[in-house]
Amino acid sequence: MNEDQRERDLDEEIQAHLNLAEADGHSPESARRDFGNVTLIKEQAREIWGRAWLDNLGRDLRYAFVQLRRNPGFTVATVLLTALGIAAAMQMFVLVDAVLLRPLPVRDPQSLVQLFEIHPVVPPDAWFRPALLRDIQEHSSTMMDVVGQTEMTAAVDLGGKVERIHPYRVSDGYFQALGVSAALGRVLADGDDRTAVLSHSYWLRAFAGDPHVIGRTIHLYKRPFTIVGVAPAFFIGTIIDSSPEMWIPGRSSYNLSDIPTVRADETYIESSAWEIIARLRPGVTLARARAESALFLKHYYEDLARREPDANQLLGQGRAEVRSIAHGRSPLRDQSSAALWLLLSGAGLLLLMVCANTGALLLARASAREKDTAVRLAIGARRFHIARLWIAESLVLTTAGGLLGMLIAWATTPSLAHLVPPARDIGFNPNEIRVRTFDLHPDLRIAAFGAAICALVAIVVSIAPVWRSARHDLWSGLKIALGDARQRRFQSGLCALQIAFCAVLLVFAGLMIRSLSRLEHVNTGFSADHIALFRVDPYSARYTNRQTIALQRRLVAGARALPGVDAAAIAGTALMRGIGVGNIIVTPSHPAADRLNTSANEVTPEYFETMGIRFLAGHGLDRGESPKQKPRSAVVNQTFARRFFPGENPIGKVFSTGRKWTAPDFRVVGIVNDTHYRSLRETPPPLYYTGFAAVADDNQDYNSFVLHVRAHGDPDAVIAEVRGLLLDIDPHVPFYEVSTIKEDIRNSLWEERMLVALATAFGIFAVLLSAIGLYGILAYFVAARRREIGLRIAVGAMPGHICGLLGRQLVPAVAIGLVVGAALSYAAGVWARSLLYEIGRSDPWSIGAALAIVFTVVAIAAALPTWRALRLNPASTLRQE
Amino acid sequence: MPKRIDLLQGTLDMLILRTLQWGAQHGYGIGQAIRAQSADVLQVETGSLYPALHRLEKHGWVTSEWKQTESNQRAKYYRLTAAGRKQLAAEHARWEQLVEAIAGVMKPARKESES
Repeated sequence: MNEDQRERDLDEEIQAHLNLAEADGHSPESARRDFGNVTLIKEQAREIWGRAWLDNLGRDLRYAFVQLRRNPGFTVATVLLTALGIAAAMQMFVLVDAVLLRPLPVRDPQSLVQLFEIHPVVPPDAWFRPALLRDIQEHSSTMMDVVGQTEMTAAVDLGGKVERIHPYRVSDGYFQALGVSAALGRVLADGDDRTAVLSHSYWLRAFAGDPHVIGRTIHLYKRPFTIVGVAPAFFIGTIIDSSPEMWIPGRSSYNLSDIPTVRADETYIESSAWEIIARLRPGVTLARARAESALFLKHYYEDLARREPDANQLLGQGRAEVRSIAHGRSPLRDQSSAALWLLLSGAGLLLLMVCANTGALLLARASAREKDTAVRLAIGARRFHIARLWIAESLVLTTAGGLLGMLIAWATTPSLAHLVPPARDIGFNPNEIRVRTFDLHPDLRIAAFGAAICALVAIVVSIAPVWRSARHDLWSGLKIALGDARQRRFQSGLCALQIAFCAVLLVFAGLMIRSLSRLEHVNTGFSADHIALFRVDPYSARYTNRQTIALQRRLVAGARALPGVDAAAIAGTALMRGIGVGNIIVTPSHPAADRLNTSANEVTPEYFETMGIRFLAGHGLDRGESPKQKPRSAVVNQTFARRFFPGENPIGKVFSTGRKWTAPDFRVVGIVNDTHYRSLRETPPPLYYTGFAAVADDNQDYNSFVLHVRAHGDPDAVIAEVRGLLLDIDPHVPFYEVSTIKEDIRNSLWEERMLVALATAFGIFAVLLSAIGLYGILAYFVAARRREIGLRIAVGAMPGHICGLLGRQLVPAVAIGLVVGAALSYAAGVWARSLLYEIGRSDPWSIGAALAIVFTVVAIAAALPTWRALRLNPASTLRQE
Repeated sequence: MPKRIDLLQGTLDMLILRTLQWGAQHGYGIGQAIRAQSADVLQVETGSLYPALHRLEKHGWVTSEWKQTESNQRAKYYRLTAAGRKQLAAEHARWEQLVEAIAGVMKPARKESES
């Protein structure tokens, strides 16, 4: 029997009953009366047959739609707020998930571990020589699948276009140990030499995803390598911040380091450094693996000390540590996991506020529909049915809000990557700026999280009205509603709390905005406006130092000759990138030092003119000094002069690098003004400039350098020209990290800007929420006391009286919230002090502006219900009695 | 008219099944039968009777079909099924147990007050 038939059947059965009763001698009326509530019986029968809840749900939902359509303002506001709350929570979850929660996408990530050496002073060391790798591979009883990997930099030649990349050299069995197979072609095989597996992103970027790439030859360090495969998109190695461009066999190192001064012999290979990755054997604990590794490490250092008695003293002082890398390694995670959790909790708190305020609004509506509810109860609706109406309404609201929120999150989340700074500190060289590869695209897990929080929101939102309808008895609804004092106290408390929260957020936003603006107007000591920067790496094109110096001269001269270029120079270190070169120097009057006491930069003589740094005394660096010459010329800044030559004329004074005074390395020839060096926040450090000749020709670790070009106008406009110049001079020299100083300064403030953006967004959102919450409270109050207010107006209360009556509902909550908020933000200011710049935590402008904003918004929220109360028509409210 | 008693929860099902033991009957007839058998003490509200009948049918303890009454009217007749018979036996047993238990509690009290 289908539903309709069953329904008809029941109708007929009831009719038959009545007929039988009549035949039994009852009058039609009495038969009908005796029969009782036909609708109720039908309802119950339906419930028995099981379709009732669906029926009712459909009907309740339809009813909810009708109700919500009748109040478009309320509906749109609630849906939007829910959407924003859910989108914010999802975005934060995506970040937390990508950085903290997602396991490495390899086979059985839980068993993956990596070996570290923990030192008391320096950061954990992850690099060991091949001897230790072999020892563990052959003898470990706690670990299996032991493999090594090491990052390198290389210039890759893709047929005319040279690019600087970071391939990983990996030991045999690397992909097999991780359980990763190729998306295209094959992975590296044991015994491979001069082969390469491309990462998926590099394949797309450099080869446009060409499937015929397998078998093609590329050149690393001018050596041919054959592409044998492409890794799957999800695999980016064990460091999740950045993806290597390719993986090559470890033994390829034989071929890579034949620069003239280094012989790629057995010794060279043996002194290379590797990260050691392994799997715990089944049932083995981290502690056991650690204990065993300690023995391996001890043996390794004993062996090293025997072979190289004069090796670094720090070696062997650390203790072995085996750590799980189930989630991969991430420098960003190390820096910011606390902040990320804080952000997620903040978003969660906001979502709770959304729930509470939506609940309050629904409650206000519930009381406005009190009569309706009472009538429903009187004609036999059960409490559960009333509750169901509210559940349906909150379900419609939260589903709409949730879907919209998920759409917003889906669309905007990938752009969150811009909030995160470029990656640094990933491989050997913290100088390198790397492209972030966090996968921020929402996936099914994120969608599931979104659905879960939507459901949670729906439940929390319905609690208030459902609770109310559960306690609702027939009489109180029909009598004069006096309002529930306890409930109102609770709401006022909630409101005060929210206002305090908003105040804290807005005060913090204000402090950050003021700090940021102060930072942006810091006098850096150089003119940042027109300078474009290019990092050039002659080392990976196998230049000798002599060739490098020649290249520098040609670059500077060539750049100067370009149209639109005012000046050009070269420096070893670019400013405002958070990093620099520190050194220990001694002078005849300070003959001993044991810690970094100065900063340094290697520059060509044109540097000062190019950067707009002024000479206060003396002259610039001498040109064409020989590396052997001592002492060589140096230019120092004011702080350096004050620090090391107080009260003297520093010109002509000598100093030297090292811990103890022996002979002069440098003679001061000029003094320039102080400049900020690593960041805007730091006070300018003592700084000396020397020429590039300082690096002797047999030094293999020649670093890359940075070409500074000063444009007449917009620095971005000369970038293409300079790029062309570099290509003309030598297409095999990679250049990278192309930027402008302005851009670098902007990047250096990413943390401040992110905090401003987040605090402002969260703050404004929170204020809107509290405004809606307050509106809900007042609207509820006005609805509950319609009759009282009507009566008061009828007996001649002035508008001022009515406003006072409403104000008494609001003023305590707002006042308490503002006072608590101001106090809290002052207290929390201690924590934020390190983030502030030249602004005290009691900055009156920030606090004043925050309080003014909260106050204004509250006033606007209060205006509407107040206006409604004043407009009440006493006659009609009284007639309702 | 004797004073009416409200039916104990769950008892109605048993009474309906019991009434149907003598043959198929329609809803109105079942109500009348219970009333008559209890000498007007038990009056079944239609508001309880019909939901109960549908519940029993859902459980498979009764089946229904439309038939003509003796007075030539169409009515829906309910009939006990085998499962229903079993259920009746079980409920009957439980009922007797309950009556006995209640009697056991009530009786000694009277004795004490007599002595």
